[in-house]
This record gives sequence, structure tokens and C-alpha cells, in this order.
Amino acid sequence: MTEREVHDSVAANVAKWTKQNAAYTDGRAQAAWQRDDLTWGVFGVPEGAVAVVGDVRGLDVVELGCGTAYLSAWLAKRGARPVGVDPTPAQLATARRMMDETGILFPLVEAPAEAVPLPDASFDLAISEYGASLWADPARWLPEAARLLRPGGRLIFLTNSVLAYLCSPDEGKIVDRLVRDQFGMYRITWPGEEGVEYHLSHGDWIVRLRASGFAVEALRELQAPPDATAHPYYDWVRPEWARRWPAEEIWVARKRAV
Amino acid sequence: MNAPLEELRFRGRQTHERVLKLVDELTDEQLRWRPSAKAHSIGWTLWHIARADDNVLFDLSGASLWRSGAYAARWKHPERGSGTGWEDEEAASLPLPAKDELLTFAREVFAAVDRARVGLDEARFADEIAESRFLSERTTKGGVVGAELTHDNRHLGELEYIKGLLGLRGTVTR
Repeated sequence: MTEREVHDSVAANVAKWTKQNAAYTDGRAQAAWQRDDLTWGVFGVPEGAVAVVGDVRGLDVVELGCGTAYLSAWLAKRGARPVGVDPTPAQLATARRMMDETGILFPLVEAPAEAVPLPDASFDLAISEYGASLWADPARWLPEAARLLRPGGRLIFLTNSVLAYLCSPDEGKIVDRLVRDQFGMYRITWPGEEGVEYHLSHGDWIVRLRASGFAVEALRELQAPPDATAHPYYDWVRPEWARRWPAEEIWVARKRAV
Repeated sequence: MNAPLEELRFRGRQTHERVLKLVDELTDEQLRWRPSAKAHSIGWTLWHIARADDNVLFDLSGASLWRSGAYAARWKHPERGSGTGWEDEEAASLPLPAKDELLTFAREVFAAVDRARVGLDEARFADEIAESRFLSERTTKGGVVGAELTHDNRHLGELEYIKGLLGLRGTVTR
């Protein structure tokens, strides 16, 4: 992608998330910041079920695409030193308001994950929960994550599963058959919607992670818990579907020492 | 690619590279030498450029490597203030760190500012800043980027001249 295309996708996503923040994430921020447990994805799969994060005490963590930064707040409560990075000023403003309300303080950086104004090798963990992992160009943000991590540092990110993308029609909810091509998937815009998403096949994720200096350690395909109910806002997938097939996946990779 | 913005980004990177190259060749002693009691050393001026650029970084992104790296405590420097408006005696009394430490800080700040500029497009250049930490006034991100360029080049010329007074060559001549 050209520099211009990257800037255009960042601008489109900032516009989208400014509206999404007004419609949902700002109002949801207080509850999200108060949570003491960590869950993953639209159906709230407990961290204990996937065990990807582990002990974060004393770790320098960068959250790429932090939004309202509730995940960073959770990390701070667990003894990590997080830095939240996001390009959308409105979401960072919500995060700052939550800091004032809760007293949980950590740095927030306004920047796209494709160009993070922080030093090389300054973090032990880079994490993204539907942040950079879905909304930033992997050709740019994966090398940035590698640059920011110390040797041996981990990268954890949650995004839509490949299968969920392949079963998602242009309009409406996810279906139980393949409706899209896998070959050629990468930069995706949905008809009538603002914003640019990035969806990669598993093979492409592995190629790009390895090219950026990572070794893949795990791929956790999330299954909706038996008692999961439809998400009130992110309703693109039903729990019945996500109990049969993975709608979301978590990648765990480690920056190689050399 | 937007040619005018890319040109601004390129000139900003180039200025940073020239400053680092100029200082990299000096000894600690040369870094601390002052032409007169009314003039600054190259080391102090590099510190000032890097501190000011850290304020630029804050204006553009909210990040501050000065703060996150706890440099004020490490170097026993004031938490705030980048040297602008200081009395000569106040500037001369600032305890400069060793050259390698100072250069590491400057390199990291310059690289971060260069990346912050990459993250800005035309629309973000127009973003308003109610009170710029760098300029101490209401401005825009584009205004900060432009002012940083003139600021750093003004001091690059100062560094070149002090280096000439040391009997060394600058980066313009051979």
C-alpha cells in the first residue's frame, strides 16, 4: 500500500471510531474500566479459558489501537506499565475522562499503529484487542510492533477469524456458508459502511509475522461459551454460530532474539 | 503520496540527521566547550533541541520520552522547561549527562518526532492545539511541525558555528 492509502485508511477509521465512540464506546467506558476480570471477544470468553496473557506484573506493555483503553486499565490494575496508542482523539478523550474518574493513570499516545512515536525495544508485551489487529495495515503495524518490543517480547492480538470473514455477506449477519473468496483478502471495505478493515488468511498472518521477526506461539480460536447471548452492539455474529465455528481468534507470537 | 507533506517530513528527518552527525564526532570535552560566558555549548544546545522536540512530540501525539524515561530525575534536571528564556547562568549550571546518554535521548526523541510526522495527514495538520507545549500558544499540529523545522535549523546553524570555532568542520563544507 502507498503512504497515501495508509493515511486514507487511518483517516476513514478515525472518522468511523469518532462516531462509534459517541454511539457506544464512550457510554460503555465506565463499566469496561471497572471490570476486574479479562474476557475476550464479543461473547466474553474468560482469559482463564485461553490463558494467553499470564502474569503482567512489572511488564512494559503497549496497546496498539487502545480505543477507550479499558484493556490498558485492566493491565495497569494487574501491575503492568501500559501505554495506550490510538489515532482517534475522541476515544482518547474518553480514556482521559476515565483516568480522572478512576485514578488509574498511564500514558496515552495519539498515533496510528502504523507509525508509533515511541522508542525501539521499549516494551515486553504488545497487545491489540480489535485495535491495530483489525483496523491497521499489517504490512506496517506488525513491523512497528516488532520494533517496539524487546527481544523475546510477546505480541498478542484478537481479531475476526478467517472463517467469520469468509461467511460474512456484504450486508446482514454472518451465514453458515462461504460467501467470499479467501485468495486476495487483505484490505476490506464494507458496502455502505465507513472504515477500512484488514483481514488476512492464516497463511498470510504467519508469513507476515515471520517476516517481521516473530515466531508464532499459539493461535486460539474462540468458542462462544454455552451461556453466551447476543452482543447488544456488536451483533454481526450470533452465539449459535460462534458455538459451532470460531468467529474470533487470538494470535500469540514472540519476537525472536536475533 | 502528498508531495508537500512528504517534503516537510523529509526536511525534518534531514535536520535531525545533520544534528546527530555533527555531534557524534565530538569528544565530551568539545561538547561542553563554550565560546564565551554568553554563549552555549554544543552539548547544551543539543539538550535544548531534544527537549524542545520532546514538547513537539507531546503536541503531536501526547507522548513525552522525557517524562516516560524519567530523565529529569536521572539527570537532576528540572521537570519542565527546555531552556527557552533561561538566564545564561541558569543554562550554564545545567549538569549535562555524558555524551552517549545525551545522544541516545536525542536520537530517540528525533526518531519519535519523525514517526509522529509520518502519522499526520493533511486533515491532522489542521488539528487545533489549545496550548502548545512547544510554542506556548494556540496553534495547529501543522503549525508545530513548521515551527519545529525553523527552530531546529536555527540551532543547527548555531551548532555549525560553534564547531567552526572549535577548529572543526561543519556539515556544509568539506
